[in-house]
Amino acid sequence: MKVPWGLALRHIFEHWFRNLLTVLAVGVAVFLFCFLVSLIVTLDDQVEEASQDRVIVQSAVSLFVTLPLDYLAKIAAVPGVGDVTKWQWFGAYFQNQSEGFFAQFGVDPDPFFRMYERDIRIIEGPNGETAPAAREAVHLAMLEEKRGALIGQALAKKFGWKVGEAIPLTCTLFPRTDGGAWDFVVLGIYEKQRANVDDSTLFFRFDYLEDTLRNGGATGPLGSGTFFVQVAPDHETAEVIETIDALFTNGPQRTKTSTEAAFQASFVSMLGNLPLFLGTIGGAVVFAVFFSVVNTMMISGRQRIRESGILKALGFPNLTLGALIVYESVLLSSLGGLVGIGLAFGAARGVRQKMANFFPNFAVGPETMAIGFGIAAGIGVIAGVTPMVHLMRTKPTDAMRSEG
Amino acid sequence: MALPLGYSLRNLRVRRTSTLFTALGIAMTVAVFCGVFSLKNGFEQLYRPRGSEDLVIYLRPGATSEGESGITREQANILLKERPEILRDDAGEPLAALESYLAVYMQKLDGGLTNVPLRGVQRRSFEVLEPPPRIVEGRMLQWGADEVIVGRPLTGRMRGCLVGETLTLNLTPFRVVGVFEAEGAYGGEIWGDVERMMEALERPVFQRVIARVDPSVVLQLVDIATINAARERLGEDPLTPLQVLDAQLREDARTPLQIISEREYLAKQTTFLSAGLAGLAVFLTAIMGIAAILGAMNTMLAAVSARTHEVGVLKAIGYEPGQIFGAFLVESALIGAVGGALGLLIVAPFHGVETGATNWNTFTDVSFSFTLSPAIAAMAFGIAFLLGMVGGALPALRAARLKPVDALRMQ
Repeated sequence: MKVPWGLALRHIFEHWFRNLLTVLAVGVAVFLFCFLVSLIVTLDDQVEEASQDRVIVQSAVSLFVTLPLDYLAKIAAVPGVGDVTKWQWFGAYFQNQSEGFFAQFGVDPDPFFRMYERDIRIIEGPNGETAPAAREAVHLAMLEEKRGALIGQALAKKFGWKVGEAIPLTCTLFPRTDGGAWDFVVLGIYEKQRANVDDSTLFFRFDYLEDTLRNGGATGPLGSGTFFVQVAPDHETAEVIETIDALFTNGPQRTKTSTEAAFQASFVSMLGNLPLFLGTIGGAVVFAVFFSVVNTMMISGRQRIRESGILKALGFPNLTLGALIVYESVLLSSLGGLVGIGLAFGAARGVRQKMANFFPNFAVGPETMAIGFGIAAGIGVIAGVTPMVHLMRTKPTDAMRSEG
Repeated sequence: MALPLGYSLRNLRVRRTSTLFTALGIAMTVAVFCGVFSLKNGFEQLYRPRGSEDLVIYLRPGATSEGESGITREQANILLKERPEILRDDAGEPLAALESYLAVYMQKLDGGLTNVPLRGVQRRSFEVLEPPPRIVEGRMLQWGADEVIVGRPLTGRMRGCLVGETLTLNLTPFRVVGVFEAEGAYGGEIWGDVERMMEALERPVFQRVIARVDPSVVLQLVDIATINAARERLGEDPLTPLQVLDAQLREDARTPLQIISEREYLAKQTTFLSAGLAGLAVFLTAIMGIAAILGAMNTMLAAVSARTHEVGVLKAIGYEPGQIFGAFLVESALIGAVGGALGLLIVAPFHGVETGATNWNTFTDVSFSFTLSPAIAAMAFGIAFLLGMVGGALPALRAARLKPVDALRMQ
């Protein structure tokens, strides 16, 4: 006998309000799940997409200790080392310390542009150039203009900065002796190509900082927090790391060199238990909504005991009845899954803008969506099975007598 | 006459599976709310204002936390010798300590690196703080020696923090000789002799001067009453003696420093992480709350439709729609209350569990514990109650609006 699948749809529409609530509940759960998982995945991507043949030299003692500038020449002389650039955190803000805060790094333009050729794409140059011509133009302009800055497209959008615009930044780490702000000129806008970079950073010339410190225009530690080193092809990264650290074992500052991936991972590890914490919450939500859907399906099952008795009496096999209720349940929860994925996808934009300092690369990936949908469908199957067992066990005569 | 409470209670018991499932949804929401707020509370406890009002910190102007500050030895010496506000002991020595501060890399026991505050202190540091830090294991550090003492929570979270182990700062090994307990964030730091620290780390400047002061000395020099009267006419807030001192000090060419009370300083160290946790809690509670309301609504709708006949009977014997509405609303609020209680039960075992996180203001690791407070619990219970009520309102309205004749005809 043919399975009356249409009956399931009829049930869904008959109790449309209740079912709408169920769909929304699953939707909310899948949304939250996808959202939290994406936060964790975003953090992991930063690590995974980081380069293995780029290494970062920093103080072995502290993130806040700068290395002497003459380290650069010593590192560059190590066999297997290609380009080396200084890389100094600036920690300034635009107008307002909480909303105007973003990352700025002082770098050496020549090695920087070579090392990051594949990581960033320059989309706008000083005279309106676009990619690919903009790269060369911005590089040359940076060498010309000491206050020149290259900014990420998200930053340009957030503050409405245009190429050619002068931007004043207040810096508490390197306060200017005149009490004023540091001036930068936007020479180009870039777009990240990989997750190890973000679109909310400003790169400027390290020698602008260095010269200002030297001529007394500002105070603060003179040195570079880190050196970014490109390992030459056909050289072992591990070997280069070892040789660099060995150079400085007797000081004056011991170094800790790691691959870019390991360096990024150490920042993630500083977040402490946050990823575990978010994962637990994601699990709790799925669990809670699971109960809610089971509950709805049990109600739904109870309400059709009489109907199922009739179907049984008409000769439909037990399995058909069971299949019908599971079908209904899976249909509802899958729909909820789609709603949740849609919500998460929509929210990703908001997160990238509002939380650009913490999760500039936030995105809901296809794997996450697939898992979210799978969970929704899974909830539907399990939620349908409980009333299914109950319906299949009830005798037709008892079922027909039931008041539902 | 109102429907007795027993009527609602009995209905819940009859439909206990549904009630329990719905309550669990609410319980999860409440548990997450409590969990995140307990974390925030535990973190803020570290920085809550305490001790006496006369404890102040001198920093470089513009520095918002110690890590960014720098005070030269010359400036510090002038400060101790000349500032009139700094209190002195019987021997005429200033009640002040020069301190260095650096967040150093440490290996966590559960893997990964973090930044732990390393503070160079002087003998006076132990005297100006209130209550003074006390040694709970091992012994006090010896001044002038390469020794450190560590905050108690660190011993369970970081490598190399046990008494007898060695901590290498750049090139110099320091021996861990004791474990101390101190109020607030100080309790999660590593302390050593400031002179030894500065030499080992080759950092020639102090980060702060902490001192006991009497700000009112400024009143002898400045007619603050007249200034404040003038400010009041302009609609500005009156200045405190400390603010007058601060303005004076910033303009002093020899010691251009800012002065801030320790209370105010501590309050400024929690802004980012507190806001982050509060935002997370509100976001999660809102989203999970919506899911819980949907669940409660479903359960109550089912309850109403299963009892349509019964509602008809109630109406026929003279119960008003308002009373029926009330009875269903109470029933739903009770589910919320059960959920609230369950949620608190879920989260209660976490109270006191020690954890750590990075304070985003100082970028250093801080150790604290989940701290559930009566206020958080009360708020959570209120939310649970509210979730139940909101979820039940619509179904209760549906029950109240049923026409007795139609309802009675329903089987």
